[in-house]
Amino acid sequence: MTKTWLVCIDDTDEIGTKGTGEIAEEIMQLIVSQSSVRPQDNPALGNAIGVTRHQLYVHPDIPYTSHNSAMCFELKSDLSLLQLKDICIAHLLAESALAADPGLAIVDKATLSPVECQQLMAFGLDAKKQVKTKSDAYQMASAVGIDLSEHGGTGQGVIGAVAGIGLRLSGNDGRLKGQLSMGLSAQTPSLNLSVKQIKILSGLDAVMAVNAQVLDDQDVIHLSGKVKAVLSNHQFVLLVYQYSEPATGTFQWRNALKQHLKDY
Amino acid sequence: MKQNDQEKQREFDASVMLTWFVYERPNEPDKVSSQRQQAVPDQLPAQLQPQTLTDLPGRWRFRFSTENVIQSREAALSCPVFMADDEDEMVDDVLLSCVNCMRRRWLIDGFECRGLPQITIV
Repeated sequence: MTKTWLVCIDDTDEIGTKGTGEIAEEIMQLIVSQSSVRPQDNPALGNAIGVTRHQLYVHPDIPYTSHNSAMCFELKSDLSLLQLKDICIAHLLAESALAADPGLAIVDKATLSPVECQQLMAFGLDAKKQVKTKSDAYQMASAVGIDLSEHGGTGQGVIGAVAGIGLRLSGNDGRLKGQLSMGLSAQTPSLNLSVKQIKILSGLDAVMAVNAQVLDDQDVIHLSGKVKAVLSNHQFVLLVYQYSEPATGTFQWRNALKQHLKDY
Repeated sequence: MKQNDQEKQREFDASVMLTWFVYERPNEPDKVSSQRQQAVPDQLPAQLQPQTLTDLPGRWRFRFSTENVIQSREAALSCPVFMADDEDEMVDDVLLSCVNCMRRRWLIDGFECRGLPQITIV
């Protein structure tokens, strides 16, 4: 029976080792390859099929390995919880850094009631501004039916793993891992596309300004550099900002800079 | 590669980075290290207690706000141990910038560099 799963990992890396996002992406691809269900083709998401990065609290009382960010993804699979967990654990053990404290959270999304979703979201939001403990994470996981496990070191990553599930459920936190392939290259470092073209090419749901204004299909965006999406209002959106051309004073929509994206 | 990094660190006169970083000695605790010290339980066995504050390594804290990417870029240009972080963890559009380095560690109000060698300031 096909179910929609949320999987989140945290605290798998250290300086110079494979990043948590890359490990999450690999786990996701392993699950997809072993499931009968195939994800719908989505040209936008390309290699980054929905892994979102969620920044957690940075505080001296929180020992984090490199960034204190959790990586979460959602996918449909006919594999059982045990099968999913086996895939995740094998890959975490193989790829996590020696000094890491990996945590893994898995939940069948359909089993979460609206109240449990609210509790998880509150936990996630709290974990962005408060120090949470492993005990807090296990209590929350037990209360809402998340399968939570630790795989090395102190296992401190269980906190971020539960928080990441909550933040992903909130639909208003996180950047999509990777970059969107919009036809930019060394030969074409920038190009102008309408919002409609961007949505078709990328599979994104919308194009939104940094002030949360949703742009119309006919609006034109000047794309250059790294084109990245964020999760906003339960949609994957391209974030843009208004740039004033110094020579002419005319305004132009441009894809968001890193400085804009770091708020997500 | 790691060996090269270690050699670079040894040979590098890190004092040039004082333009962009403050080297915080452990006997000049800031509020963060004070909190850490308070967290050390008195009941720890003697061998696990910090010997003296000056035995602890110092740390390199970026002098400027994390919004100040100009200083972050200038510092990275002078640094021989810059190591690009995962693209998803970068916060400056210019690659060579300390805030994009795998060796930076975010603090509540800034970041520290874990790549620069320890120095003695007289």
